[in-house]
Amino acid sequence: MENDLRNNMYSCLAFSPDFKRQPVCFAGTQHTLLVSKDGGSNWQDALTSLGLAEPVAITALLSLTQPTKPPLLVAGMVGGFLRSEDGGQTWQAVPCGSPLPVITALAASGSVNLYAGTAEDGILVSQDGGNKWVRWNFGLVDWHIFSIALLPATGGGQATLVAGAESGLFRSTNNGHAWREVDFPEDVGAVLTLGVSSAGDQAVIYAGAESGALFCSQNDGHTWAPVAEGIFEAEVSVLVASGNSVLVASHEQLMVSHDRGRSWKAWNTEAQIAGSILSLAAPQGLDSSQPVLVGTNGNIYRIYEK
Amino acid sequence: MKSKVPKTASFGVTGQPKTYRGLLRGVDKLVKTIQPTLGPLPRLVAVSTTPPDRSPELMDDGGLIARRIIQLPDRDEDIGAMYLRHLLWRIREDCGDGTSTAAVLFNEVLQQGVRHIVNGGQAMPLRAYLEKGARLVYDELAKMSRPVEGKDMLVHIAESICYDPAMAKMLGEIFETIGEYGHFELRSGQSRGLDYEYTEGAFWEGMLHSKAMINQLAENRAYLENAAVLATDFVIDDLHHLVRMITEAKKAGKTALMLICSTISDTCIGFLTMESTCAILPVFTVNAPYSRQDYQMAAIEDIGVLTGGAPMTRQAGETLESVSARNFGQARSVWAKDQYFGIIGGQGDPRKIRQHFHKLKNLHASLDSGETRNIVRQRIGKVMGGSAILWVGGATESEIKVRKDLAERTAEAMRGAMLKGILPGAGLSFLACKPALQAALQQAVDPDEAAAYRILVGAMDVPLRAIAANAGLKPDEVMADLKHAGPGSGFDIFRKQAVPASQISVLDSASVVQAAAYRSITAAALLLTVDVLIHHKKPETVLET
Repeated sequence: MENDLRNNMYSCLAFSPDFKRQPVCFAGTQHTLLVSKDGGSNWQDALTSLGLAEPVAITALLSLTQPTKPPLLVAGMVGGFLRSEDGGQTWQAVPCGSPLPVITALAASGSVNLYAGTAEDGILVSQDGGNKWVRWNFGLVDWHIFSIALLPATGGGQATLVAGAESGLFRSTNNGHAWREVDFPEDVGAVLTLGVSSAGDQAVIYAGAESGALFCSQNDGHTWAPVAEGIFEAEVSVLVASGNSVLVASHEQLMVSHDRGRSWKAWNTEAQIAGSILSLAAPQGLDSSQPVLVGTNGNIYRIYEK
Repeated sequence: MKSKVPKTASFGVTGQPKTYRGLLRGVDKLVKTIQPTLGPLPRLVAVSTTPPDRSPELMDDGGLIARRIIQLPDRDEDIGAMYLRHLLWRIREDCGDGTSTAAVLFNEVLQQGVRHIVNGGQAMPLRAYLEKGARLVYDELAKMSRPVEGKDMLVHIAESICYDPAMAKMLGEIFETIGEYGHFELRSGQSRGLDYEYTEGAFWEGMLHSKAMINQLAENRAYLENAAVLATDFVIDDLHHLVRMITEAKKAGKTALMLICSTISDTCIGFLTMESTCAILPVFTVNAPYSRQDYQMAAIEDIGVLTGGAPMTRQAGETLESVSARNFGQARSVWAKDQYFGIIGGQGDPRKIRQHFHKLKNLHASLDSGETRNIVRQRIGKVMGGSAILWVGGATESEIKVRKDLAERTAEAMRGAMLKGILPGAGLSFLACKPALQAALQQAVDPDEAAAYRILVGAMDVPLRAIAANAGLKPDEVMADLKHAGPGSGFDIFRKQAVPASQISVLDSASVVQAAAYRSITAAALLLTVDVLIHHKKPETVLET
């Protein structure tokens, strides 16, 4: 089936919250949304039920657990969202007003409060599981959002949202109601990707920038320190974090750290990954015995750490 | 029965000891009118209105009460009262609150200072030492302040200022969203209650030039998406210039245009509203904001940064003939309605917008007070994007006005709290300054220096004493309770007992308390150096007796 997947740009990946029992994965491309029911080996069009006359570019994906219901799936696209409440069997389009936004990133707090980053329109917030979206950009001086991540609440405090923008980082501690800029180096370019992992009580957030710089914060995004200095030559386009590990893609390079960025090694030097890496997913974490899905501008791979 | 007595205000000079007596009496009269409004359980002050058949104004705002007193009959007293009045109004304008505290501190420092001078002290050194002490108090208060965290604390601060739970809840929600610099407006509402709304993007005052430009009839507004924005301070009255702008916009690939200009001629408006012109390029035009030139230039600069267009201004040496693609900014959408126009999602370089934002924040921090500081803060709010409007309703016009005034000064104090933190209220923060002043007193060698610190140590009790008296308590008993409770205690005015300081529920904005303390002490210190009062001759007036 891999041959059929060529010439797609796999801009985003998501997997079922209950991946161990139901190994369902989704991949967004410039033409449609693909689904795999066998953990990423075989893929098929997930939007056939919509009977679309024209291709739909899927730019961001989110798969969320719903109590006593199948997973809620939300796909960001150019101009709005697609939403499925039955685990991807059927989809509904959710428009979000004009001018039409280009969705670049999605994050959620539970299955009700959803947040979407956009290319030119800042942050959209939904408080009803993605049925209705409104722009909410108080304090957001930069409306060009590339990435968004949610740090879970710790110690009875509020969850923290972090948004990566063209000119740096912004932070919200009141469910996206108000944003404040974060002290972050100005010369590293846009913050293209964010990844959160929880090890013990502490959540760690990583931010990958256009210049190839990678940063880490261990205090809810208040302050940031560089990690992996000099490791990445090209932009850090995507990363995924789990436990103490973080897997980072920069162009065709895939590097992993299992000690929160202190030391790095190449991820699977034998894997022949062609094209720039655009998306990553680690459905069962970054344990070397578990596969990782890698989407590029040409193919999708299911590989293990070597 | 009224009788009219002609009175001539002649040229006059007053020397000591009449100078101090007159000043003290005048200050005391003003302070007595304001003091009842201090604290969480204030009393009201009724001010008669003109014409007198109207209902009197009921006030609990020291600054506003002082503002209503425009002259005292005794000219020596008048100088003292007007000096304090001006100080209080400045504090009210800059901080929103703290005027009653400033009044009682001022009075105490002045009275004790005069007592020291008439007993042989020197006015000039005393002034210098009081100013040094004022700085010490200011720094001690700064050390005690803690940052505002979360909506609950904001609501708490608001309630400590306005004593209106509904208003405090709304202001807490609003300021958590818009932040310390956010754009906040108060408008009279149609209902009896309070309501608020948020507006996306930035908006300025500037009228749409013609109703024919309204394209969203249901909302009665002009609205364009993905529009170019051209901001200029020129008057557009030549059709050739307008045609050139439209041609250049089309050449630059623009599909719609909002033109912000000084004014525009009817001929040009007619041309823009022609169907054939709209088909080429939909355009609406609005007045450039502000009539004052420097403020207008600043607004045009902000619009240029937000949208990424180079403004066309006379100051920059531009002419309307020189319009080109670089002059057009871009926004996701623009609108104009009633007296306002707005920009949503300006497409300027985000890095330049952030630099501009920081530049304005630094400028704001460098300005102490005044209208310019407010304008800079408004500019920061616009660059941040988003505005909040609080609609204030009421049964009568005067009720609406009173609530708007209250909301305005609460909002001002909340901004101060967000910028400089909060302090325990009800006079507790002043009491906490005493150890530092007593330490300075022990080290003082010069008698005037010792007197200055002794005066300030005593003055630190005065706000709590006034608060206690206003709450119907005996100030001496309150102070005794506090002394008995030991260090680290405060007096809970609601429970009427000494409690651990951490349990004090009333909070004050640090910026308000610092300003009230510093300005009142330094102003009183300066007044102590006045020896002679000179009264100008005024034309004969008729005073009602």
